[in-house]
Amino acid sequence: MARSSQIRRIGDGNVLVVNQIVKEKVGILIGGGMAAEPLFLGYVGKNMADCAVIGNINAAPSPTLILEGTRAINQSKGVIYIFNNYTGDILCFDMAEELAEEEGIQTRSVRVWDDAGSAPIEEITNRRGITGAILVIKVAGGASNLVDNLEELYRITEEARDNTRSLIVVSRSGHYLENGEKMFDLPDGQIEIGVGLHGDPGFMKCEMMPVDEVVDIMMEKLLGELQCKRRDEIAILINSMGATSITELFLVNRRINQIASIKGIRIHNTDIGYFYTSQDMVGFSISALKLNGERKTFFDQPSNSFSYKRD
Amino acid sequence: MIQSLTVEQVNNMMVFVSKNIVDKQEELNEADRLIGDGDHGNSMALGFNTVQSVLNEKSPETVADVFKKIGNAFISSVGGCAGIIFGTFFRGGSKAIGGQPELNSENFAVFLDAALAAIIKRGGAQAGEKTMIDTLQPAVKVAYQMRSFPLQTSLQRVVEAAFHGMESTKLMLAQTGRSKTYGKKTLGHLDPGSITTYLMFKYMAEYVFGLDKNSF
Repeated sequence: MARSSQIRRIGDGNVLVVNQIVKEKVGILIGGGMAAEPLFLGYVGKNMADCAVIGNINAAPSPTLILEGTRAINQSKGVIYIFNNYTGDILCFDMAEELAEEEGIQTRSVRVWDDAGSAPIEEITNRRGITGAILVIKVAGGASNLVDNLEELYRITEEARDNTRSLIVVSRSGHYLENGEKMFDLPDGQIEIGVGLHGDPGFMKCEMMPVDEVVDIMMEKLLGELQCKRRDEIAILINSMGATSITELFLVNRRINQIASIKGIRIHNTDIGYFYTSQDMVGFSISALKLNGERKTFFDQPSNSFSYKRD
Repeated sequence: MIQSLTVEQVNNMMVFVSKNIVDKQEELNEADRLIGDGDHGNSMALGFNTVQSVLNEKSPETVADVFKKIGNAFISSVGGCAGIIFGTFFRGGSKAIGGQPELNSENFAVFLDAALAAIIKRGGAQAGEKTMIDTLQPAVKVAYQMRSFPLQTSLQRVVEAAFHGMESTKLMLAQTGRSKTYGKKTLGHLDPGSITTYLMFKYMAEYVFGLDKNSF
C-alpha cells in the first residue's frame, strides 16, 4: 500500500498492522469483509486502529486471522475489537476472543450498530453497522494513546458507539465486482433512505426529491435519536457511497450547516469524502457523533491513516 | 456390548465419521442448494478432510483432546459460519469433559450438552429455527436418559432421536443465517446442518457397532 512506511502486512492473510507499535498501549483491532473500501484497511495508523483484519469479499475475516492480528499488537494490556454488527463478523470475532483468552490475551468487543435505518431503536442491537464505525475508531484510537486501561478504553469506545448514528440514502444500486450485476433493484427516479450496503431494506422508499429535503429527513432522525439540544456539539461525516461526487456532498454539507444553525447545534468537525463505499452505488451517508468533554479530546487527537488524517 | 471407548478408539471413530461425511459432499451441497447457497457439502468436506489429517498426525492423550483438535481444525480450515459453528460444537463439548481417558455414555451426554450450549450461545439461534439445534436438542435429551447404559445402547438411541430431530426441520421455516432470506421456500426441505449432525451420530454408532463382535 501507498503508506507502507507506516503499516505492514503480516502472514499470508489480510492482516495489516502499524509498523511502530506504541509500547504499553491497549491495542485497537478493526475488521470486516472486503468490498466496502476504504473501510477497514484505510483506518490503520497513528491514533487510529493498530491493526485491520480483512476477510474475503463480503465475508468476515476468520478467527485465526483475527488471532494473528491480536498477537501482533498485544502489549500485555489487552486488545479491543471494533467491527460492524453482522452475523458472520459477530461469530468470527466472538470465536477469536475465545482463542485469545486461551493464550492469556484479554479482549473486549464493541459491535457498531449505527445504522438508524435498519431497525427500530428498541431493537438497536439488531441494527447494521456502517460509516459510524469510522467515528468510533477515531475516538477509540485517540483515546488509546491517553488511556492505558482496557476496561476504561472499552467504556469510552462503547459510549462513542452509543452516541453515533448514521443513515445511507441511495438512488442507484452498485454493481458486484465479481460479475458486474446489480446488487439490488431500485426503479429509476426512486430513492431509498436507510438502506444497507447491498440494498438491505431501509425505512423509506419514495420519489426522487431535492437534496435539501432528503437531508432534512435524515438529520431529523439522526439528531432526534441522539437527543441533540441547543449548544450540543457534534462531529459530522459525509460520505459518498461510490459514484456520488464530492460536489454533491458539499450540497449535503451546506444543508446540514443550515439545520445546525437553526437548531443551535455546534458542528465541531466535518469530514467529507470517500470513507465507505459500495462499488459504484449512487448515494451518500451522513454520520453524526455527539461529543462531550472527553470524547472531544479523544476525537481531536492528530491522526494519520491512509483514509483519515487530521493535524 | 461396547461399554466405552478408549482415546485411540475415539480417535479412530472420528476418522471413520470424517471419511464418511466427506463422501456425502455432493448430497450435502444438493440439500443446501434448496435453501441456501449450496456450499454446505464443500464446507464439511474441507473441515472433515482437515480433521482426518490432524487426527492421523499424532495420537491425542485424552478424549477431550480429540474433540478439541477437531474443533480447531474446523475453525482454521473452514471459512464462514459453518466452520465456526461446528468448531464451537467440538471445542465447547471438549471443555466440559476434562482429562477423561475414555468415552462412556455418561461423559458423552455431558459432552453433547456442553456442545449444544456453546453453539446456542455463539450463534444466538433457538430451537425451532431450522438449524442443527433442532437435531441436537432431542439427541442431548436422550443421551442424558441413557447415561447409565453402555455407550453402544446410548448411541443407538441418540441416532434415533437425531433422525427425528432432523426430520422435524422439514416443517420449519428458516429464521437465521442466509437461508432466512429464502423464507417460505425453505418449508419441506431438511436443514443441511441437521443432516450433517445426524450423519455424525449415525457414523459414530456404525463404528461402535462394528467393534461389537456379537452384533450381527
